Amino acid sequence: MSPSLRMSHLRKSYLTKEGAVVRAISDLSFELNAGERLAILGPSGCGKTSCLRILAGLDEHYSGVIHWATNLSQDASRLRSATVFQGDSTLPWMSVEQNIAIGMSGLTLDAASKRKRVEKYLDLVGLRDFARVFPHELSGGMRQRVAIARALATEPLLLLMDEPLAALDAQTRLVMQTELHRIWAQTRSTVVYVTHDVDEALSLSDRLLVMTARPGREKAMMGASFDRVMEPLERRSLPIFAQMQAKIWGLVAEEVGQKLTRETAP
Amino acid sequence: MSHVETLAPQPAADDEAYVTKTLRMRRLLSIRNLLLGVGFPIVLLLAWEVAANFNLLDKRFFPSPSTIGASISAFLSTQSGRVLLAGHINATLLRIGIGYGIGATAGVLLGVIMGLHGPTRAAIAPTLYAIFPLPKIAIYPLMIVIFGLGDASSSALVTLGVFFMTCINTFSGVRYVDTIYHDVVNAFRFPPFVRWLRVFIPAAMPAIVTGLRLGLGQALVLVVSAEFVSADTGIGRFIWDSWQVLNVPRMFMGLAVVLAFAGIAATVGNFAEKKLIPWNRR
Repeated sequence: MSPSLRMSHLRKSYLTKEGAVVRAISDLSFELNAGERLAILGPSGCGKTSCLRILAGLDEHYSGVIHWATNLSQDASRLRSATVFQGDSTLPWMSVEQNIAIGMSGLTLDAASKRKRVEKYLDLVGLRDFARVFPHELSGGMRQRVAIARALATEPLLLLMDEPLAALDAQTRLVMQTELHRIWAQTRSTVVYVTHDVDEALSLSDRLLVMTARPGREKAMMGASFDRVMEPLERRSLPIFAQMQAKIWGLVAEEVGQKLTRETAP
Repeated sequence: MSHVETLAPQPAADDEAYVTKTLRMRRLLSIRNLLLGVGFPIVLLLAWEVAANFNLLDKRFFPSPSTIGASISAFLSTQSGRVLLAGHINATLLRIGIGYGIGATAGVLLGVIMGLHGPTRAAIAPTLYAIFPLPKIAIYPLMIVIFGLGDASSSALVTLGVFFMTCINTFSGVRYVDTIYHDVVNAFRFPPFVRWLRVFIPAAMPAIVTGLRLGLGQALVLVVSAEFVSADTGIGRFIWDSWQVLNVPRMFMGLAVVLAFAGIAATVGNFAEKKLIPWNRR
């Protein structure tokens, strides 16, 4: 299968307000096949969110090459990438269905197809009965479902998720992991999923990219060693889950440790 | 087994008693608070009445509330009195209407443009913020020079006050829209029209409505002040004239009218808030 996305030698630096240059990503390359779900893990500040923002088109100042497989100029009915953000990103002055519909405002779609997509993705995230409700009347988990439906409705080539469940409580998060797994299976989405939660990465992804501390680059790339159709709870019940967990924690801990030593060194 | 059951409380009965008691407490509390809220001004008026009747207050300036009430109703019972008061009220409302209409429209428009367009913001913001703290009434002499005595200059003063209030609030509302909304419009490639009309302006709407409300209060202050100084008509003129001829009851009638204006303004503001920003519940 040909890669759906190829990122080569991505570098990203920031200029702080004081004028200092901070290198966020030093050299990052990976390929992503269509339908594949990649989780990016790493200590905080390792550049994983920077990487996601670049893929989302929110940051155009980087060096390196990002090659998208499909020529999207030929398909104005889909977005190249759509993002689900960490915090609540629903628009409080719009109903649930309006929130989903407005995500498609940059696409060339007739009203009927838009309507059809809204209904389809409302169903998919289980919010059909809440179509005309406003976000402030929903729980945090339901608002995040709205954000997920808004992203899916653009039928993106690449679905980007920036710690989408981090703001939810532990129980809702577990339910939502199962939901995400089911939704991705149905939409066959290609996903880049940024998280700092090792369990979540293992529960949801096909492959895991562990990044080094800043400036971020690849520390390890590994397969999740589960059948990709296997659900999060089932994955967690297997012995290999704990082994993988320990291995990844080890990798991340090394980086966090290094970062701490560096920061506390005189 | 049976003794365990008897030890266990009977939740249903207990709950019922608890609920009844709590509901009664809440009802009593709200009745008490209502009585206190209504009672306090009544006590104040009574104290005033007593003080005036025992000559503890100078009756020329503080006649008793009952005297004031009697003269107000005597004034309003004559056709000429009612026409006179209505004329003053109309004059004031016209000035507020014109000044507020122009000032709020211009303020919101410029505020949005400043929020949207960097160069305009950079050019105008420093001057705007430098002039803003100036008490607007202090510019009234200038307004009179430019617009002459009367309606035009008072409307212009109101316009100015409302403009600053709405412009600065709208601007900061648009400028400091939550960054998440910027990320959403960029990540989803919203067209410019959608960005502004359906995301940024609604996001700034709470600040815009706040500006419009503060502007209305400002308009009332300014119109009354301007009428004190330079008008033949208006509720401010009515208050000032009454004071000058020591017709204190009429002066209090003027104050009551201004309070009624403020009350109406607050009600309109609440209504606008419910209509324009229903999601913004405090």
